[in-house]
Amino acid sequence: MPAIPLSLPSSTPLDGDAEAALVQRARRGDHNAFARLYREHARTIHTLAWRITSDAAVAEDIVQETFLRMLRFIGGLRAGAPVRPWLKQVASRLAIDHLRRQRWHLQEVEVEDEYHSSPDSGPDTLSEAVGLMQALSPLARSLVWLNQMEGWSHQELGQRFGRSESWSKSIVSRALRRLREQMHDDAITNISTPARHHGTGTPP
Amino acid sequence: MTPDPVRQHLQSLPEPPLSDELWLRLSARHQRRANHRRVLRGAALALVLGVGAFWLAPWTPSGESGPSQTHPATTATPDTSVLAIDRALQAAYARGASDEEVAPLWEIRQRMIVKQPASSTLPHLSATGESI
Repeated sequence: MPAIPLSLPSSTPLDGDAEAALVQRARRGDHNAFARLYREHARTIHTLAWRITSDAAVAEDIVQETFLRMLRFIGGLRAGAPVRPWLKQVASRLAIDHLRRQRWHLQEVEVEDEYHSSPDSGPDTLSEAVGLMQALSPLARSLVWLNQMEGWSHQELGQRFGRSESWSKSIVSRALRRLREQMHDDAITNISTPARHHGTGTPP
Repeated sequence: MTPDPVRQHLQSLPEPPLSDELWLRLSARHQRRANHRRVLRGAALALVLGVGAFWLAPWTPSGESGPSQTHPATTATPDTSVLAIDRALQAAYARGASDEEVAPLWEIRQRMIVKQPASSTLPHLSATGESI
């Protein structure tokens, strides 16, 4: 079975109706339709799952499960409605459920100087992909990403994690403060030593 | 309004790499699922037709010599259950059903023909389900 060349751009962007038709075809077993949907959304869903879990293997499992659920359950999607929000919602919930099962993630040590490297992500990949969020715990990273980038409210986050709204507010607020401080410190450092290179790359 | 630098930073983060193996895994699952659905559909159809054929079959008390045995072959009517299967086959071909889906129907038809008395006049079907 040939691999999908993910590097290739989609031929044309999909509108809601075309996408709904593709989903129906994929559910009936049309492999090309399924491949097209995967090519259209897999990267976004994988990135989201990775941002929440900080674990490459778990993120891949979540992508797989999300697409399989699409085939099983998306029949009730409103006609013409885009598929991506549905996929993101499912992937986010799966990722949060994974975090909840990993109890150590939820310990209240989230912001203060904790650095938890993922077992399946090399340090280079992790540091590049999380940027300044490297200074945060996986839990704080997840909450910050969901709140700031995916638009989840603190109430939704509290409910989904089985905690309170104020629990989410507190962690996100401290994490954001820490990120801003770090950005400020980095800016000062860059001004004082402009030739400094970040990361592990060799000097020019 | 100045954009939030933290959001800007988060937006600028590179995407983690996505392995091609994931697609191979998912693709295999999708094809397995499609095959499974096809087999289930065929089996369900065969079951429905089998039950239908049972109910439609003419009831003849055992030990009683039915009139059909005394009728000449030219006047015998074909078994209604076989006709029901034939209609289902024709409908399946008309909607473009796959070989996997029609195979159970052909099997049931074959079994019924074997059980039919030799005097029955049965329609012959071509490979596309049309009466010859």
